[in-house]
Amino acid sequence: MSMHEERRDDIAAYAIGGLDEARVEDLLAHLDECKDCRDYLSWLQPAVDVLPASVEQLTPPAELRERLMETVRDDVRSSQQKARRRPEERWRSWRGLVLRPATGFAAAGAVVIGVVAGYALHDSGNAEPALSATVVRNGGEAQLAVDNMPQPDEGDVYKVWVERAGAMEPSKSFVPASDGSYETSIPGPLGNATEVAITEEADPSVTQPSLPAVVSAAL
Amino acid sequence: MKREELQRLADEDLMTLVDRKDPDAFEVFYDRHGGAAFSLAHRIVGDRSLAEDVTQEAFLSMWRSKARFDPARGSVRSWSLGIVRNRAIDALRRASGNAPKLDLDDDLALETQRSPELTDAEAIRRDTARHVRGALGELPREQSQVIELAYFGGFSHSEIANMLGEPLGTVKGRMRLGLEKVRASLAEALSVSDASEVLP
Repeated sequence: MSMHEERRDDIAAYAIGGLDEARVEDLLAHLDECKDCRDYLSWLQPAVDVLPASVEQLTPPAELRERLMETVRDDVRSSQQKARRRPEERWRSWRGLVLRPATGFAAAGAVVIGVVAGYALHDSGNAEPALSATVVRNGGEAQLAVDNMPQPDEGDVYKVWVERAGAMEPSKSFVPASDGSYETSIPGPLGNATEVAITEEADPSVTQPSLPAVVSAAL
Repeated sequence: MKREELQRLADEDLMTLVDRKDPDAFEVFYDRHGGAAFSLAHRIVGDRSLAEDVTQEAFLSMWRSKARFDPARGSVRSWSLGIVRNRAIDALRRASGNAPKLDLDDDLALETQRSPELTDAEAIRRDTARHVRGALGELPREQSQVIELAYFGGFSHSEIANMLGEPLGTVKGRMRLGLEKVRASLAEALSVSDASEVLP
């Protein structure tokens, strides 16, 4: 059998999910380079796509649809409640911000331009470790360091914003380390920037903050 | 958007709304593909209750965007049924005590070419289904057997070769010949005569 014929056998097995895993990587590498084989896979694929149509068509139980849609609508309600709760309860939980010296940065010779810190207060009144966010100008850039930042909700990220002339410009997105710390540079120039803020976002690609800032620092 | 308007949307447009977390669009999406999904899951796992679980799990994965539809990689129907198949094979393996073989990254479920997928294609689907059932039925038993074991059973070609006591190359060759016949039959069913229907 020629190499080409053998490849076609592999492609057919791959198309129906039957190619040994050990051969898949090699085949995919070959497909990247061989247009004939890609064309063959494309040609064959509709035959695989219609295989589900060959089975006896059953009517799914109505309860399945009900359960599924109940979960879906619960998801929507939960998401809406979370969005409503954030500006009120979650943001309020960071009230009582106090200034804290950023001795480490200052000792390094940089200029501290904004420091915020706070205590997350739960309904029970138990204090959690203090959240702190420190912005330090370092030449044309700035360094942002956060400590004790709680993990964002599942799938969310924190996003850094720089305010210039009244407009919030998106900067980096991040998820803090498991100990709540994170450090990054904020690209400059920051000459006309007036504030750095951090919001929690479900979509890292947003171009405007969708929620109030978790922490912010005037520059 | 009203339900009647949603029902008139093509699958790809519907998926745009599903991505935006529109539950009504998702409901229409389920109504359109849930039957085929449940049927496929049932064919693979052979149990109604487990097929329900698989179908629900697969659709929730699609809803929660753990699996994202990419129009460049195929039709909505192929994409969603690929996810259902992946989940069903995995459930089958778990139920039989074997380690899961398939990656649950649903985005890897299918790599397909773009194919026609419009809401008014249901009649074509039904004709196609009849034709495919016929085409599979006409395949020599040794060819339909290896296709079914791989696609509906989740077995790899070496597992099938061991099972049947046949050489690896023979098994893969049968898969290929069988699929090529189904593909040729499909072209005939759709009465398409463009060059793409000719074996490259």
